[in-house]
Amino acid sequence: MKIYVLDCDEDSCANTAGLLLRYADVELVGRSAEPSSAVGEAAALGPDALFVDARLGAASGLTASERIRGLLPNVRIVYVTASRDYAVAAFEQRAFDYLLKPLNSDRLDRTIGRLRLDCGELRTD
Amino acid sequence: MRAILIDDEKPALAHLERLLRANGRIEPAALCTSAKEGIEYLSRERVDVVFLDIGMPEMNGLEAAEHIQQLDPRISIVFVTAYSDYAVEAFDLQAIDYLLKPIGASRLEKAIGRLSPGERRPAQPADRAEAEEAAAGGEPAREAEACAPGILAFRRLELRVRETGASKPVKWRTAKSQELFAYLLHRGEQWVTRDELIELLWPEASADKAVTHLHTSVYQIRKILKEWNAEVKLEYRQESYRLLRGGLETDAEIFEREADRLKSLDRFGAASAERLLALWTGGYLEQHDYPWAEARAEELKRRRLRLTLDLAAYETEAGLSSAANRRLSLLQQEEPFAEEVCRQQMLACERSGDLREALNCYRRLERRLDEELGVPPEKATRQLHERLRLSHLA
Repeated sequence: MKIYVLDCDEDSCANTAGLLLRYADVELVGRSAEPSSAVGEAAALGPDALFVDARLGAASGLTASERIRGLLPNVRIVYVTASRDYAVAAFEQRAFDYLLKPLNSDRLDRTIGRLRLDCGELRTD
Repeated sequence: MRAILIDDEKPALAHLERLLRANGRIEPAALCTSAKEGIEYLSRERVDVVFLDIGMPEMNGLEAAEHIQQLDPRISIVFVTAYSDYAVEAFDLQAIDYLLKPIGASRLEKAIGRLSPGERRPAQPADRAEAEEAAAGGEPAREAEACAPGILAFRRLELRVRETGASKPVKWRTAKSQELFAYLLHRGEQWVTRDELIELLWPEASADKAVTHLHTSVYQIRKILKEWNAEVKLEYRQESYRLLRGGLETDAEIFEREADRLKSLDRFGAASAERLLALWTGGYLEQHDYPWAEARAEELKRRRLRLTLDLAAYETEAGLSSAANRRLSLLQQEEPFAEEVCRQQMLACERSGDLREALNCYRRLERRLDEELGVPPEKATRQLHERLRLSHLA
């Protein structure tokens, strides 16, 4: 399962990436703290899921993920964020999941479990 | 799909029920004014989805959701609430959607779209069990046999999985490969030249870029087809492509072919018409907005209107006015200015002896036409109204 992480806070980005790497079947295809370059990079790498902060400095993580989804219609979007404020919008956007920081490993387990099921359903590659 | 609605406020229940009935894809099986009442209902009856308010006395919606999931993890939950504060918890509970009151028809439509079996993300292992059940001869498989399009083109493109009869949207890598597939499907099994495809899909790209895009898309489609159904093939010969179906038909093609065969509606014809109309889940490829699909979409829409009117006329004659009325009011919502629909509805009301409702149908149409288009109803409609008005007076 290929995952891309986008978070403007370097530490937080590294933390999420670190937690994800504990899963043997997760392949961290890339990570970025820079929304502008991340869109093209993520689209080129074709991850199954995008872990993204809902707030990226001054920009919105929702806009960035929407742009990535424009290029990769099937990418699953998982928000990892300190703010509760974007959760309704995330439903609107049909995000896959919404996790609060600091990341709780039990909660992350559930997300990964659901991603496995979802990605295994219809593999096109 | 069957739903129950749980909300402590009766007007909110009535509003949602009305929207669901207007939409027609979900049957509101029960309205409950407390979580307790809802859970009791669920322990007796099989339900696919619960529309659940959050702010309720005694047991709130979040607690209720946990109970419901313990009862049956296959039940989908859609929260309906005036507060935005619990959306994070709704994600924790794997709710399918979170709707803010007041709900509008279009936002509700989106939520319903996420609920239909093809759309549903298999969030829980229980979904697997359901699929196996279907494969073992459960109801969905039987239903699929009755009229089995292999590919769905009404509303949106979906491929049906043969083993389970379930359909699901394919995860296309790019929108262009999806459009290429849809276009070749649209053209039947005809050969389509490379130049035509490039002109249609990549008109802006330079010649060599466009060829590369085309090859990539063809490659992706072949990969998807190989996994889905090896009998469907994308062929290439002399700079042209075609899609060989291996006998598969789309719902739109079945609809078109069968609707042509139904010349007059007797009892058996009516049953076939009803089955055919059930294939209609939305306009031809409507969610994709493909310009090349428009003419066909219009034509299919026209046929569906015709067939619904014919069936309603048969039902009215056969003394099934309420079935006719239900059918016609749903259609009228989609085609608010189609006067034939209104006329047939007036006739159905007359037949069931409800002249007052017949006259109301006319008044609503008259107001709609006046407000939106600034025109009066057609002569035929006015004449029918006059006749009914006189007999109402008498």
